[in-house]
Formats: sequence, structure tokens, C-alpha cells
Amino acid sequence: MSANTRTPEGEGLNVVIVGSFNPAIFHPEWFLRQGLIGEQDAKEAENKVVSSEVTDVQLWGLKLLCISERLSLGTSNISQAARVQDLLLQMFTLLPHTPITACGINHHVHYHVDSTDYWHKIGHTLAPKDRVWNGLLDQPGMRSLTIKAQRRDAFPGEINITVEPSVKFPPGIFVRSNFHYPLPADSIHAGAAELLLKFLRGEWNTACEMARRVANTIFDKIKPEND
Amino acid sequence: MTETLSTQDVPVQWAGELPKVHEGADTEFFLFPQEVGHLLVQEREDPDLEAEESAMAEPISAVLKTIPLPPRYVRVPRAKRLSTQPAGRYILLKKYEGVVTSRGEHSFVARLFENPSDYPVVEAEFDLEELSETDRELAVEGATLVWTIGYGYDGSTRKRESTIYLRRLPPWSEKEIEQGEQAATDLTRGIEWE
Repeated sequence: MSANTRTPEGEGLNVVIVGSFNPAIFHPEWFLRQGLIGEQDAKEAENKVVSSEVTDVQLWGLKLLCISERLSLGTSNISQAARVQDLLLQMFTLLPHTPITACGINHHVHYHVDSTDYWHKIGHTLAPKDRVWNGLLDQPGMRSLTIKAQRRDAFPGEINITVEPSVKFPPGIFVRSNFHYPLPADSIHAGAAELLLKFLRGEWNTACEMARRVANTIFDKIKPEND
Repeated sequence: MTETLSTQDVPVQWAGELPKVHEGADTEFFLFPQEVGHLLVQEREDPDLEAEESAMAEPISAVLKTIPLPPRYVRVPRAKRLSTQPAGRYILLKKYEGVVTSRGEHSFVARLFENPSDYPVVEAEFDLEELSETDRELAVEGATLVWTIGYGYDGSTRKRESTIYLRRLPPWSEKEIEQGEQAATDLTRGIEWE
């Protein structure tokens, strides 16, 4: 199977924002009153908990979690990715004075692979066992591999890529990318939300394709034995 | 690679002790490294009970200190299981983004592309009924939309789905409009006509 024809078995997106939040605000009623969602959407929203300590609600199939230091909006249905972006842009346009210290756009994919031999080959190529591990351990295997790189564009930060065996679709691989953007310290009380909006607009498309790109490169560079 | 079953417990944290979980500004996970955990939240306080407690504060603290409190005064924290991903599975096959170019009484026309560099772009007409009731009023000329085709799952049943939704982007600010105009002017000036 060529890399270009592979389709992920599952794909999701999750944006994590670190700062100082008031979880109680994020009630579906607030989203309705601000015109971010329709009346029907508010009725169908699932409220697990909305309190001053933690909020856990589901809108449009998107999961919003918030505690006083963190906010996360995610989906396991990648067709809704644009809605994640829209909702975050709307929320922080309405809450421009929120102190924010960092933001991460996290994209993940699960791919099934054709055989366990090929699955082992991917693991052994990414994390070779010959030099160190085979002499120390019996049948060592790769559980998780994270590669960290710098991003030096308009939003300096890190890209963290993690490759693991897929626990959902064995034998398979799971790839997660994290576009981490630490906001400048002097912006926390002056313009942090504005910078966040720029980051979410500027890096969105690249960040939302990164895990697929990495997986495709793995399948492209590491071929099954019979190819 | 090895496939192992984890013997680690699902983590549990008090909501008030969360800074200890992530010392730095890590943005890879919301809270727990395995994306799932239990968060202990204080039971929401009952205003009536609060008033009652307040009125009894003196006798309880001074006189009845060693008498066990009746059960209604015991507050048990609620354990909330948190997961950043909603349940469900979806396989994306095709995704188009586009702009509404015209709208009629029962339908609208949109220009669609898979990548911003696609040329020529595809034009398609959709019935307004394809949109949710709340999205129908948003389908006006210039509105941006997303059209996806994929497989959704209902238990073990796979179903092919076509989803169209209108984007709800915040309006451009004055500053952004100015910056856009400036960028267009710079681009126009940069063209060297032969």
C-alpha cells in the first residue's frame, strides 16, 4: 500500500491553552447569549459539570474542559476541526483580557498496519535495539518515542512528535503532534489573547496536518519487507 | 514495538492541587498524561446549608465541638472522570473549504477547493435543506463553509456521511482590515509589469 492511499482509522484534534480562566463562564447558555451557537445547539449540549473549579461540556460534538489554569477544546471527529478553530477565535475575541501563557495545537492519528512484521519493522527502525537494548533486555520493544524540534517562524516555540503503538487499532501506529507556543512573558496582561488569536489563525492548517505528514513520511521511508 | 497492557492506575487529582501535575506550561495534554483521569471536585455548597451552618457556628465551635456532626454536614468530594476526547470515531475521506457565491430561495452555490492553491476551483449547488436550521440563515454571499465526506460509526455500523457547515469566524477588527489593505497595496506595488 502506498503512503498516499493510506487513510487513518481515527483522527482527532485538541487545543490546550494554559493561563488563568473562570471555568464557570463556559456554560452553553453563555455561548448562546454571545451568539456563538444556536438555540438548538445549546439545547443539545451535554453538561457534565459547570462549576467554579471545573467545567466539562460538549457542544457540536466538541469537548470543552476547563479548570482555573487550563482550557482544552477537542474533537475525535476531524471533520469538525474548523469548528474548534471558530469557537476558540470567538471565545478569545470576546475575552480579550484573559491572561494566557501558552497554547498547544495537538493533532493525532491512528493507522492500522498490514502485518505485525511490518509493525515491528517500524518500531525497530525508529528505535534501533541492536546497540543498547538487545544486550540488556529480552525482546525489547518501542513503547513511545518523542522527538522535539524548534519552530522559528512568527510564533517561536516547539514541535513535539510522539509515535506509539496504536492501542485502538492493533497492529497499528499512533502519531501525535504538539505545536507548542509559549507566549512572551510581557504579554500576559497586555495582548496575550490577541497573540493567541494570531497563532490560532497562522499555524492552524500546518498544525492540523502535522501528525498525518509524519505518519505518511514513516510509511514512505519504511516499507514492508515484500515491497 | 511491543503492545503492553498498562498496570498504571487512572490518575486522580484534587482540582486545587493541579499546578503540581504540570510544573511547566506543557500544552501536550490537558491534565493527565494518558488523557484520562479522575478530578476530585468539592461538592457544590448549598446556600441554605451554608446559612444554617453560619447560624450554628458559635455553638458548634465552642460547645458541641466533640459531638459528631449529623451526616448532612459531611461533604464528600465528587470524582469526575475527565477525558479530552469525546467518544466516537470518524474517518475523513474528503474535505473541501469554500465560499458561498450566491443564494436562492431553496439553494445556494459555493466555490470549493481542497487546497488554497487549487485551480480551477469547483463550483457546486446545494439545497438549503442540506444545512442545519441554525446554519441556513448564515448561508449568504461571502460566507465560508466546510464540506466533508467520511465514515461515521454507530456502534459497529459504519455509515457514509456528508457534512456541510458554515463557519462562524469573528468579524475582522479595524486593525486587521487596515493590515489587509496594506498587504494588498504592497503586493500590487511589488508587481513588475512588463
